[in-house]
Amino acid sequence: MNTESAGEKGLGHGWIRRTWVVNGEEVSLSVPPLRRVLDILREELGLTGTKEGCGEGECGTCTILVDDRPVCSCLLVAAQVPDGSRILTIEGLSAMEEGRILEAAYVEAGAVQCGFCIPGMLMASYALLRRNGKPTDAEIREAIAGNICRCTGYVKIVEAIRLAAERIGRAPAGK
Amino acid sequence: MGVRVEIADTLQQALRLLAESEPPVRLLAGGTDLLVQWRRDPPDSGTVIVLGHIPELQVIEARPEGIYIGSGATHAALRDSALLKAKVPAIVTAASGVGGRQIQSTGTIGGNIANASPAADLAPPLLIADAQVVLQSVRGERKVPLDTFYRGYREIDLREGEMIVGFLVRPLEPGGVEFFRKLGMRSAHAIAKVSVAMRLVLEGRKVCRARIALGSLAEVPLRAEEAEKWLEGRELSRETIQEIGERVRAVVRPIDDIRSTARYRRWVAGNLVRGFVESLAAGD
Ligand SMILES: Cc1cc2nc3c(=O)[nH]c(=O)nc-3n(C[C@H](O)[C@H](O)[C@H](O)COP(=O)(O)OP(=O)(O)OC[C@H]3O[C@@H](n4cnc5c(N)ncnc54)[C@H](O)[C@@H]3O)c2cc1C
Ligand code: FES
Ligand code: FES
Repeated sequence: MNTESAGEKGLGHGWIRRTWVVNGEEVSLSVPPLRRVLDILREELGLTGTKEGCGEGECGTCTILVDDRPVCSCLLVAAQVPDGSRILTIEGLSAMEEGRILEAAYVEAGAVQCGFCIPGMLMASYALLRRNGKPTDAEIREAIAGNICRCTGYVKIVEAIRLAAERIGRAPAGK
Repeated sequence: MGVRVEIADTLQQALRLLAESEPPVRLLAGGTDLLVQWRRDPPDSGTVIVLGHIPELQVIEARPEGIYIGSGATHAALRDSALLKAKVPAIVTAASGVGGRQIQSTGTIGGNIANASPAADLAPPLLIADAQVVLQSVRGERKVPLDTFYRGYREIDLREGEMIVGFLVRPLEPGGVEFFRKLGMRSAHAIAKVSVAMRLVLEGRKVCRARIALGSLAEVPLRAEEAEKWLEGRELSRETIQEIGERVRAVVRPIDDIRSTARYRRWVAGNLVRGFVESLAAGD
């Protein structure tokens, strides 16, 4: 599967070629097989909106969507993501109507303090709303259970997601 | 140098790679355990085989011999499976509680069991469904009951060149009910401190078959067999409810790293089982 030589410690021997659809655009790159998707996004593709918190799956700051499912990009390496996968990052979400509605709702609900958790929270919120347009508070809490916010205590975040759900439900353009 | 990374597209290819690659050979499924370990101790020799692209490992289906769950089924796939919800509901409850949604998207049932943690959330619900671990190597297939697959603290009966391809579980019998509960710190993040799964098959108020399994309470996830035997044939009476908690507590063999809270855990496990039996008795 991998033929070219050279290898960095911990990243695997050789390089692999991957073609993904990142934020709607086809991207083709050569990467070490065990390089984290988080690092590829930030360093190869300049998409620095995805942040690293714990680096161990605990905080959710690095959340992206791969084929519509939320995943921690810090616990995902290039070799795990097949060609043709659709990756959505916070940059892609912000360019979408749903993303703008979500961001505005977070601000209005007072759900943003230091802001560190917010990209990941927005991604988790969107992952929820795209499969469930009318979530209950319990469903909202479950959807963001993998995201830690040290500032807000979650109540305002739940409120923001509820508000965004209502607005997206009313918005003329569908999902 | 560096570790060689092989991406297997089929099961046959994975088994061949497993047999022929330069050791040490490590299997990478969802990576939610392995990639965390590698942060401190990245592999720098041998081979990593990536399993996530193999369709055969992701199958969830009803077979004549039971419900079959491929080792590569993610917690999200388990959580969203209508078949599993109807036939082995405790597995669905447990998968829904593993980490947060992000971890559920990539973490697999095979990785959960192969990681061999006494706290693995999927172990108790598999144990109450009499799960058989289906193993394969280039030499052939082997089936091992999950309760003997666990051999000791962090030790499993996985031979060289073998991988877990799936699990065969017994579907819920008519009159059967299942229950799973874990108590941890923050449910999405803590490795469960206590977990209990239970399957009871009832005829009216009489218990015909009982399965009780406990996580984080001994060096391996284990079944409370004496308590199961004691419960079988009994009515869901006040006395049964009174005593079942004690019977479960008697089974527990706490291990060193959790001894400080062993009494608490034992007490909680007994209460969880008792609470479930009580709610069933009240439900009739
Ligand atoms: C933030 C966070 C929260 C978590 N919360 C929970 C929780 O609540 N409950 C819980 O039980 N666990 C939890 N975990 C642990 C982990 O997510 C699960 O155990 C998961 O199911 C592991 O599966 P994986 O596919 O990611 O395994 P991997 O990391 O890919 O592999 C784990 C081990 O299994 C081996 N392996 C994988 N597949 C096979 C196979 N088919 N045959 C043989 N060996 C194999 C690997 O070689 C490795 O040794 C959590 C982890 C994180 C990071
Ligand atoms: S940085 Fe990925 S979960 Fe914390
Ligand atoms: S706003 Fe600061 S961590 Fe959430």
